[in-house]
Amino acid sequence: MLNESNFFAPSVMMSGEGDDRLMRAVERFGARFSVSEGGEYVERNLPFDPEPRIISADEFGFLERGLRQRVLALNLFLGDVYTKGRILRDKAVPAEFALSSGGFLPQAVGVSPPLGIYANIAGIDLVKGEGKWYVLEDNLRVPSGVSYPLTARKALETLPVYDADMRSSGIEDSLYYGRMLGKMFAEVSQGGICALLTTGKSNCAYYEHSFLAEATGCALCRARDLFVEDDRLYFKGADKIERVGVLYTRVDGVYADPLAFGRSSPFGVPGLFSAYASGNVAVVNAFGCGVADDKGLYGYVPKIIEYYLGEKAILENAPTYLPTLAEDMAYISENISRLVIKSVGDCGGHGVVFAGGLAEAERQELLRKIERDPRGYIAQEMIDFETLPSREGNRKADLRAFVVSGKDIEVWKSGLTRYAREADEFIVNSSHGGGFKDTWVLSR
Amino acid sequence: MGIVSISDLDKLFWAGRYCERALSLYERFTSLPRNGGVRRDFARNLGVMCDIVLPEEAILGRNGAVFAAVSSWRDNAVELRHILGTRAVMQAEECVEEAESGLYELLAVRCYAFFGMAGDRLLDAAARASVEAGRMCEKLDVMSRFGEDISVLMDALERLKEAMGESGAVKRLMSECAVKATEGEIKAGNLVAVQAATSHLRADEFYS
Repeated sequence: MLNESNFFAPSVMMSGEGDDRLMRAVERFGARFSVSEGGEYVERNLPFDPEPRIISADEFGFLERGLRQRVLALNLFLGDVYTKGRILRDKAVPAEFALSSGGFLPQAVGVSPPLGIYANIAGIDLVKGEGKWYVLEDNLRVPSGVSYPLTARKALETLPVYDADMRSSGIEDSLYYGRMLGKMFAEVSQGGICALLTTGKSNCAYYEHSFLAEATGCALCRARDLFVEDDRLYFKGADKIERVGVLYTRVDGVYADPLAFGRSSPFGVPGLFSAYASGNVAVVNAFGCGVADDKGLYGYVPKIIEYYLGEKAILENAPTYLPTLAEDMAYISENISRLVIKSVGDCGGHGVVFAGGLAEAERQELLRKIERDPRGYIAQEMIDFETLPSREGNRKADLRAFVVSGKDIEVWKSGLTRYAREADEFIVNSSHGGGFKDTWVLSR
Repeated sequence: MGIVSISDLDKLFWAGRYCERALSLYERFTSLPRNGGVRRDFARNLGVMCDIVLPEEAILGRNGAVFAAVSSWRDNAVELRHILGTRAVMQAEECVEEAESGLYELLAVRCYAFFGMAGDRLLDAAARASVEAGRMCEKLDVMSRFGEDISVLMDALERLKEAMGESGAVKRLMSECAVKATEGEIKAGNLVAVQAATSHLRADEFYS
């Protein structure tokens, strides 16, 4: 049976020359990411390491079960919070905690999305420490990054080694992601075409937007290409106006409709929320998902799983402390020097502080900040997660797994493996200069 | 392949136009003899005075006319990945990368490959016609600047009219009035006026 230990080494499969050709092929696909440099956004090629992360069939099977369970529970939670609020009344999750989340949208109360699913696409960040997988974050608003491993796989297809070695070696195909997304779009569509809403080239993930529009056959559009009339969403096609049945929005909820959420956003479509609330268009992911990808609420996910499914969480959280709980706050005060402090409102690796690296005065200042705004932070034990080999040497790496929910919950048999720019650095985000690898899941 | 919006149509027009500009300028310029001031005259025809820089620098240099056209072609193409497909976009991406290193050997191949893919892959008649319309507008502009034969200009104009006939959206994208004016000036052999008329071929009021 194939597993990580007896699987052929990719460096043998692809000689140094093969690696170079693969890297070149990925560049040719134009896999770019915008980063802020000196106050300006510049597009640059995302660093790519050709040696993939390999996950055995058994290990991925375990992840798959855990991810399905987690995403199912999170969607049940969202459906409950925006309708009956049972979990809040039963105090399994404190109501004041959930409702004070920046991601909670009061406008969405009483509105149910098609099939009752809010987070149709979830990106769950995992790390492996001492042989055990932990969930670090649930990304349920606009999870991104899927296009990069897909690009790597497509690029690999262009090399002669692909057919000879890969297909026969029991590696799960990953290029079906576009079809999987398309199937889900068809299941939730309210009748009409599928459109992908982008903010345009200024968005750091614009490459991904255009890539996914190509992969799914969606119309790639900006707000100016759409309009709402009689609570229906329409697309200004070149030859005719088309009704939109499903909108895959890559614009975060509150910015997607300036009328409903009172934010002046040039990227939003006025009236979109009303069309969605009337049941005339499916919005992927649905309005209001942010309450469940709140970093504070993450601490409650094991309880949420138990509450809705009556099961223990298969995938563990990193040990997390909530400053809103007196006992946790006391622990944080005593042990701050070995904890990681995360601001719940930030993303992309921003607002993450390794308190051990601070001077004593800075640590005390951070503690005061947490005491002043306990809902704004969480503290986590530092997990010394695994390093993977890369061309620059061994680097810390995480895995973003993608879960697509329509009539079924499907875990994509690959994932985005991100690695840190520097040795011993723990932040792997692309916005911090991190790179990516393809993720190969073995099929047997 | 994605569904084409009005703004996609506009970008397809410009992608076709800039690609044709890069191709036409490169092929014409490199076919000229290096001596005798012919290349300097070529640059002057494009409005570039070569008193300080060499014509080679003005046309093929890092900030030259061909590089500018290739960059604009790429900038439009990357926003059309969902319509054109990654492989067509790659032609423009590669071309910019090579041009940054001063390599133009494959420029013509990449431009023809792009037009070929656009013609072959674009199932949407409006999208295909828009690339062709952009291409023909640019041909008319370049050919009028360089004193091309009237029959060749008329041929490009006919192809532009055919593209407009293929799609109502492309017809709206173009100014019929400017097309008529261009035709009149070509027939009159007034190439300076043809060049002026080509700058009005794309309708300003398209988005309204």
